[in-house]
Formats: sequence, structure tokens, C-alpha cells
Amino acid sequence: MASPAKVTGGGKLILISGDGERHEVSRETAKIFRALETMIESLGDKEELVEPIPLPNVSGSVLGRMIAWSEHHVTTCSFSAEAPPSSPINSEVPVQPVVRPKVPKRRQPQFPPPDVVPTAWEKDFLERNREDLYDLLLAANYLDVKRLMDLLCARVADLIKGKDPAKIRKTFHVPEPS
Amino acid sequence: MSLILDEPKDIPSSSIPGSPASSFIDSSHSPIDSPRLLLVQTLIKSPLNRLYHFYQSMAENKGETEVPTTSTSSTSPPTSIKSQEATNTASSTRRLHPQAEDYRSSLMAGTASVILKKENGTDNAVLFSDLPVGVVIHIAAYLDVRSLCHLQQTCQRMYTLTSDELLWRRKLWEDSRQWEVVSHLSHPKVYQEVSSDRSAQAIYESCFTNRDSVPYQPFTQRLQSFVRRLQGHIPRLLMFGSGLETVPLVKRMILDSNSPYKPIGLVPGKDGAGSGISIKHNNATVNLITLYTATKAERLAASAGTGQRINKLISGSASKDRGGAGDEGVAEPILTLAVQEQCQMADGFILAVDATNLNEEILESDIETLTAMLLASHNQRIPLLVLSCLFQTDDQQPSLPSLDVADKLKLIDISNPWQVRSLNVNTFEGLSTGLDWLLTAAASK
Repeated sequence: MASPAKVTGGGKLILISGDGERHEVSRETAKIFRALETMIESLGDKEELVEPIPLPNVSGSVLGRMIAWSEHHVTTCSFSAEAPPSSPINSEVPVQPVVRPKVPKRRQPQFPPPDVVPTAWEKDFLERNREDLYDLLLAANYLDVKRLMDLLCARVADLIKGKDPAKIRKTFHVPEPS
Repeated sequence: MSLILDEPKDIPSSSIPGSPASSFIDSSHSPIDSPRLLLVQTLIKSPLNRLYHFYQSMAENKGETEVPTTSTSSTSPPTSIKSQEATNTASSTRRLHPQAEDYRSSLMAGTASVILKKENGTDNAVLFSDLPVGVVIHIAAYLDVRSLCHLQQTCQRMYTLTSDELLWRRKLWEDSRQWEVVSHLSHPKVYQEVSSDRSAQAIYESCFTNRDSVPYQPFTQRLQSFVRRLQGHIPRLLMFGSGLETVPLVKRMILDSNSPYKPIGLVPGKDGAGSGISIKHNNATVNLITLYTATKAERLAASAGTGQRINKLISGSASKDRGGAGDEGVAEPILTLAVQEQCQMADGFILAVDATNLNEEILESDIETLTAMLLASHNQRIPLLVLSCLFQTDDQQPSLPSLDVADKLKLIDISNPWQVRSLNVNTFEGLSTGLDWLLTAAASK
């Protein structure tokens, strides 16, 4: 169940899903989850985080797929703008989180670029997880994975497009208004 | 257990008051061999007992369904009893989580599954309408406006969420640049300036519905225009602008085989201005008067840099404070007398600009001519049609959206009715509808 993390250096992290599954990931992989990024960075470089990180809102199977996603994107770096530049892991100077200039990384709030074209791998990934679109959506939202979020939202939007309200209700099981 | 649960189905026919219990048993042709019927028989024999069992079963029924209900979110539809009835004929294992089962089967059949398995093992359904606000708006950002409106109508929560001001502002900004036609009634800025508290969605709707509408025409004016048409009045449309000079619009209109208009005559000029062609538009004759700022040789020289760019339409400029009250002299261009005369006779203006090549210098000269003409016409109801011409041999050059053309020409400050329409000179697409608008609006001037 634990995905074999490709070690690129740096310590490993243990993520614990909501239902108690333990997943071991490399730091670089975990950084794709931007919800964890700040924490990992403030952790410094050298020490290994022994304490597992609980992610109560994500179930084990979904977390596994999320990790598969981020591992793919760490190795391929298909979207260089999204992947953070690899930090100097071997440097000896401990980074002090307090002194570090805090650049408020406010992401562009809600508006994604309208042209989201999935790569072949991403297309396949979405196709494989067709049944759990919403689980992934919630997890991507929770872990703040922008690229996945954009793709998933575009996909859900495709399901809505061209349907009248009654059909949308039927597709998404929205209760009829009383 | 299942026997008791079956009871609500079997009982009703016999529970009609007055119908003897024995007749119910007799009417069933099968002999009393199954334990089920035996039970039914004993129940019927003692009505009190039957009632007791019935209610007890109902209570158990409820108690069973209560288990998943408490753990699921409040959005679970009230299908508990129905699904129980539907499934209780099946094996007893299916009845453990009737709701969850119902959900799962119905959702798997659909395009998207919304089941999220919680850590405590119970099934929890996440419905589309339960998605976090940010996610819903994120999804909505990918939708076109029509789908967005459809989504708004699905339920109340969706309505509030997708009425997001920023979302609609963005949609308005993006979409308005795709519009081929922008008029004084469909420019978003007009609405923003008039009522700043109007929501972006309301502005969008107003702009979208008013794209082609002509200004309101009172009855007296309609009568006037009718009389004028009876008198044989031929509308005179003044064509000018940089687009005429860089884009061979008129030449193509006359010579091109694609052109929907054929010249049926020439309009003589007077004092060196006001010559043009007459064309048939919708079986009515229209005079197109073309006004050029300079001769072709002079224009070529100016664009080559050897000559000076001149505007022969304008004779000079005069300070506005001729009355003596104002002290700051704003230079106002004055048209030559011949052109002024033309302006006063005009029924409509057509300003042609080149959408692919609209630099500052050209723009300035256009604005100058335009303001001078509108001033000279002494009538604030004369409509103005701006043709944003696309004429290129290759599709490389980006063209300005109609909205930007309107902004650059500062049309917002003009009180005349106006419309900017992009026109493909190669196919003349949009010219006919543009002229329609202009003539309709001109009739109410």
C-alpha cells in the first residue's frame, strides 16, 4: 500500500491517511502538496521528520493516488512553473524559519487559466480515477495541488457543459428544489 | 425477521375494516403450508397482537435505518423506508446499509461517484452541492456563461455560490472581448458608470441582451421617418476614418465579387467633398459618401515618411473660449465648410478603422475627425457605426477586439448612439447587419 518513494535526497516523511494507512514519501514528492510545502521548508534541511503527518481528510486509497500523482510530477517536471525549485538539500547551513523573508505566496484566488490541456499521463490518471473524481477533488483541494485541481475542475465543468438544470441535477444528484 | 418486514406489503388488503380475516386466508389458493402464511394467519387471528407486531416491526425498521442516518450528512434523501421496502425481499445482508447501497448503485450508474469512505468505516456521501465554496467557484470558472446560468438554476446553494461577483466580473471581462459587436447599450463601462452597485452578472445580462438593439424610437419620430421615406429621401451615410485609407474597403465593395453591394450610381460631390456611391441595401437606395483626409499619393508619402500627414477635412482649429468666459483654450478642430455642409445633411456616420493596425497617430487623427464631425452635425441623435476592419492576407496579426476599439476611440464620451462592429473585409461579414442597425437608428434621429 505504501508507494515506493523515489529518493532524491533529503529525509522521508510519513503521511498518515484518515483511515490510518501509512505512506512514506520523499520530501520532494510531498512538496507537490502545497499545503505541506511551507511546513517542510520550515523544517530545515537535515533532520528527518520522525513524527508522521496526519491527513485526516484524505482516505488511504485516495492518498495513494495523490502520491502517485505527485511522484509522477516530481520526476517528469512536466509543469515547471508548478514544481518548486529543488532546495539545496545538502547545504549545511540550517535555515531559520523566523528570519527567512516571508513572501506571502498568495495564489491567484479562484481563476485558473482557461486552457488546461492534460498530458497523456494525466489523461490516463483522470481516466483511471473516473469513479472517484470527487474524492480526488476534495483531496486536491485539501492538499492544495493546483495542477490537479485545475484538471479536475475542468473535467467536472465538462460534465456540466451543455446540460439544462434538470439534467445537471440528475447527473450530480442535486436534490430537487421543493 | 424478514417475515415481519414483509408484513406491510401483505396486510393492507386484509386490514380494510369489515373484511373478514378468514376470507383473506381463503382467497389465497395455496394451502397453508409455508410458515409465512401461518404467521400471517396467527397475526390476523388476534388483531391486537398483529398491531403490536406491526408497530414493533416498524420500530425495528426505524432503528435499523437510524444507524446509517446518524452517520451520514444531512443531505441524504428520505429514501430510507422506501429503499427498505424495495430491498427487504433480497438477502438480509443487503439491508445492513440500505442508504449506502442505494447511493452506491445509483451513483456508480452515473458519470461521477460521490461516495467518500470515511475513516470510521461508515459510508458518507459527498454530494456535488456539498463541495467547498472554493472548489465550486473553481469549477464554475471553467464554465461558459450559459452553463453557468444553468448551474445557477439547479439549487439555492449553487445560485448563491455561482453569483460570485469576482467570477462574473472575470467572465464579463473575458467574454466582452470576444463580442463582435459593442454598442452604446452594450458597453460594460456604460453600466458601471451609471450604477456602480450593479452586479457584474446584471451588467453582463444587460450588455448581452442589448448588443444589437437600437435606441428607443418614439412614435412621432417613426411617423416622421415614414413620411420622409415616402418623400423619397435617400439616407446619406458619411464614411470616413483611417480604415478607409489603409484598408481598401470601398474599392472592394465596388469591385469584389463577394461584395453584397453593387454600386448603382455615383453621388456627385460639391466643393470637392461629398462624392460617393449609391448602393442598394434591402431594396432601398443608400448613398455612401466617402471622405478622405488626403489623396492617395499624399497618404503614401506620409506613410513612407517623406511627406507630412495631413488632414484635408480639417481646416484649422479654434479655441473653445470664443465666448470669452472660459480662460483655458481647448483647441477644437474645425472642418472645412464643404465637409461641414455634408455633416449637416448626413443621416449616419460610418467610421472605418483598421483593427490590426491602430497606432497612436492614426487614432489621434481619427478621434479628431470624429469629434469635429459630430460637432458639425448639430444633432446628437445621428448614429455612428464604427467598422473595425479586418483585412489581412495572413492571420498572424492580432486584431483588436471591438470593445478595445470602442475604448480607444473614447466612444463612451459620445452622446450619439454608436456601435462598433468587426468587419471582415474579405467576406464582408457583418457589413449588412451593421448597415441595418445604422439605418434603423438613423430613422429615429
